[in-house]
Amino acid sequence: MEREFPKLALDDEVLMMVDKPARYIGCEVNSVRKDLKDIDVRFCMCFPDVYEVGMSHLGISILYDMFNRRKDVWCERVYSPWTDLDKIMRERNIPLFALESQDPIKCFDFLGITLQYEMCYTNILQILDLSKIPLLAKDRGEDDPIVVGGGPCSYNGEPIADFFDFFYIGEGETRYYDIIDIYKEKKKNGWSRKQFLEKIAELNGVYVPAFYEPVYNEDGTIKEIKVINSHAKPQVHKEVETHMSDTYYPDKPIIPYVQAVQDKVTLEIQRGCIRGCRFCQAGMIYRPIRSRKLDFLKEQADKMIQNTGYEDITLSSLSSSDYNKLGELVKYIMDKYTSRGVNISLPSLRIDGFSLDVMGKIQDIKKSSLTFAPEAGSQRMRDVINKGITEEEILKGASDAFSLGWQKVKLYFMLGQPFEQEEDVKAIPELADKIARVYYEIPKDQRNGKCNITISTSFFVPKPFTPFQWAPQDNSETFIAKQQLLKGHLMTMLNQKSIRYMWHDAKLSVLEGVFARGDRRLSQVILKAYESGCFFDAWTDYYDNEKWLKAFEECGIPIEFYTTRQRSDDEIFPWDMIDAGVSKRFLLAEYKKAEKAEVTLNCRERCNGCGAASFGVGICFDKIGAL
Amino acid sequence: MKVRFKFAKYGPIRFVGHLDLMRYFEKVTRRANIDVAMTEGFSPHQILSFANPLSLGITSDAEYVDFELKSLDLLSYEKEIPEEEKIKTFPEGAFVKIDEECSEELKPLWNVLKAMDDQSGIGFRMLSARVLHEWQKGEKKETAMSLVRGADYYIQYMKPEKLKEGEDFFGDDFWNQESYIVTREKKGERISNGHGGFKKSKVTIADVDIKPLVKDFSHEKADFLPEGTDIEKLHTSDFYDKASMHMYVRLSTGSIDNLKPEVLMQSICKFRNVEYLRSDFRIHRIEQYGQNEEGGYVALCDMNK
Ligand code: SF4
Repeated sequence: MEREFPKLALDDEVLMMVDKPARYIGCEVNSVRKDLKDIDVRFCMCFPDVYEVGMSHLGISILYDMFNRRKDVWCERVYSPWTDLDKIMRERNIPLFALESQDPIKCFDFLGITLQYEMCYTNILQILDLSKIPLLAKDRGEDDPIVVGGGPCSYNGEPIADFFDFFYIGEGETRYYDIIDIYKEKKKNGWSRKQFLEKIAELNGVYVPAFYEPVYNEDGTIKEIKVINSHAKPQVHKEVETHMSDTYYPDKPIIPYVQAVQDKVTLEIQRGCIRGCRFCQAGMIYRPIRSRKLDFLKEQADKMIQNTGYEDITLSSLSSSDYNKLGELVKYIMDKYTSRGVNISLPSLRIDGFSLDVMGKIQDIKKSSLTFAPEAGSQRMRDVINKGITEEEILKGASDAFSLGWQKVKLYFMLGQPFEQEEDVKAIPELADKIARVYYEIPKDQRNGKCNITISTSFFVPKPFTPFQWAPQDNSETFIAKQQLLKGHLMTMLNQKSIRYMWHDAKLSVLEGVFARGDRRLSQVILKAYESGCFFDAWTDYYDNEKWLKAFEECGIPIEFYTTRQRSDDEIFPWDMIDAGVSKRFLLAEYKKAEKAEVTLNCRERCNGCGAASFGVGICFDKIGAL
Repeated sequence: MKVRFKFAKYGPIRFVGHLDLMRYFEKVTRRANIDVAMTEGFSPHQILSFANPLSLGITSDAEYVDFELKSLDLLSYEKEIPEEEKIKTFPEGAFVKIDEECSEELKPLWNVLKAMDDQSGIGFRMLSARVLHEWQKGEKKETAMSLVRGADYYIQYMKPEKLKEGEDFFGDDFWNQESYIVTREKKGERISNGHGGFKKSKVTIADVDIKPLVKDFSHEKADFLPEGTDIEKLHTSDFYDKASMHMYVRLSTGSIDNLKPEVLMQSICKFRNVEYLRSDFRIHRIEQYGQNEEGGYVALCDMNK
């Protein structure tokens, strides 16, 4: 029998001891195997969380495909071993391995870690540690893999700067091939690690933290960020894909055996967002909005559905309703694939007549719930955050939905956004109540029993590169008080019996807030927390707040400095060497407007000169945003 | 029409669980453009069912999945096949093997099998397909699952160093016993507590004799095994030491009596006084059987129902 699969890194004894062993065997349909003798550069992509979460991520899927299109590169994957395997690997000294070849990570040229949320930071250390790669970049030798970070958290990678050789700022499609070519030159010419980093530091989008040194004021704020290597640029500009309909996109996404959290193929219909919600980091760092051409999307949908056999396709974007060919695309997919049992999911829709029409076609109205994200309860607050939706529109949307037969509604809100008053919190259950009233206005014989409204709140965490990056974050006492206020006020509502309230834990939000706007001094805290046993912090069951508090205390670093402090208008931020396209001046102006609850029109209505026009593409030049 | 597919599941795929198999096959048939029948409703799913589930870690040359097919046509997105031209009936009992030539008449069935095999992931191989009996009203319906009565396994013991000098793990001293004892934990049952709730009764530990469930055994290839069984050619896991201690067994399997090979190994370990560790064994399923009227074992792929 021919050997079509690799020898597994874990032996049967281990695989039979752990939960879901198929997480660790690779061999998925459409995963890529190559012959090492044709390969010059080995790249391992990592999502620092458990397999089912990591396998759901589109970015890795795009880059995996992009790298593997090159004959001289083999890109593989690794995810965080779950806690059961983690323990065994440590006890038995088993090095972490990549799924495809089952080879140790340590023998790779690159380890690329995607940074999607702050709470994965200790998992980065777990990955490095289990791979036997020195945790601190400065301790790494010539034979260790180059550790690169990318994704939204790399826009402020300072809290984890000590662990990375470089960060890739922006969209991966554009610059990695150049980096690989330079790496091949390094190998050929025998350059050192440092020489390689110096070469790539000259590329746009590459940030090498070791080449910068923050100088602090006595109060702990930053006085200046010194560039200490002549190859490094004072400003690192983010990379933007300018050809959205002529670029890498996987034709054959990997099909995991273990069910992924998002068990479907994902088609990204556009990147960026016109809306400019002031709390939203994605809405700022992915500017300007760029749509993909309808033909490209149709072709891509065909390839992905036919090559995977998935029964579900998600049309993804930050605000799908803003894609002007959405109706056509949905129709195309439905006509062709409904008979084969393929479903479409459409997250992030605005609730209007058009979306309801589309959703009525793709889901079972009786069973499914409709999701609204007003994010704030009062109109004043929605103007503060520039949500761009009025109460009238919300109630009209609800009314339309109810008359079409929906009776389950989920409402998402954030507590603790800047300039929030007691009335604004109270307005949340009030809005839910108004929606319920709309339902009960329908004559009894035309409605179907009770309506079912769920309010769900999360705590707002100010993020860098947003207008709220100057704003103080609520502490956990305030968070909890607001939660209680909401709960209490809900009890006084007429339709309280039709309304459920779900909330999130406050502690995680505080820590997330520290890291979101943190600086380089936090690396030691993360290291300490990890050494004391913290990891999988994003999983509430494993999150240990006590250990974290102790780590902060031992490092003498006050949490409040990062969270509840009001930053002055002219403060130098730890991430100021990064240029995300949107200017600091624009963000500050937006913050000032927020204070006055003034709204800003969206990019399609009017350009507000945010700075992202410098990329020369997208909506800034063509009001549809199509390329 | 109902078609029974036989497939091998081997190598690293031995760690893919039974629940994940269903999702795997739904995708295989879609990629292969098979005309599978779907359930009604808003989220329709394919109509398929498996025979006896395989425990994690066991490789197999005899897994079975029955699909309800609308036709034997391979669908195309480019050109729709008119309903009246579709092959919606096929002779009951028609049978094809993936690596054997078939007659022109059987080609449509073979094409379906081949299309599925072409879409199989590594560690899967589609082996054969048979068109099953169409159940009429009033007949007692059978499924692959309800038919299973027995299964053959090849088992290797990988840790001879745990034994006494000269001791054979699979030696006749074990097989010659009057009974094969295994200690089983009976989980607590739910008992009404009289207040509308339930409490659990105590976990009981009892010795059970499993000898009646061992239908046959042999150290070497024996007559009870399918013709031409050759462990070198079966789809096992590729990387194991060719240990000398091995055994072929036929065990009662299915919904009436069910003996998992692991349990038999526990019994031998208990007899030999060595600790039972699942990973000390390599287990391969060779065949699954139903029974004919006379009580003889018939491989599931040879049954028309
Ligand atoms: S430059 Fe104008 S149109 Fe372009 S993203 Fe910024 S605000 Fe929108």
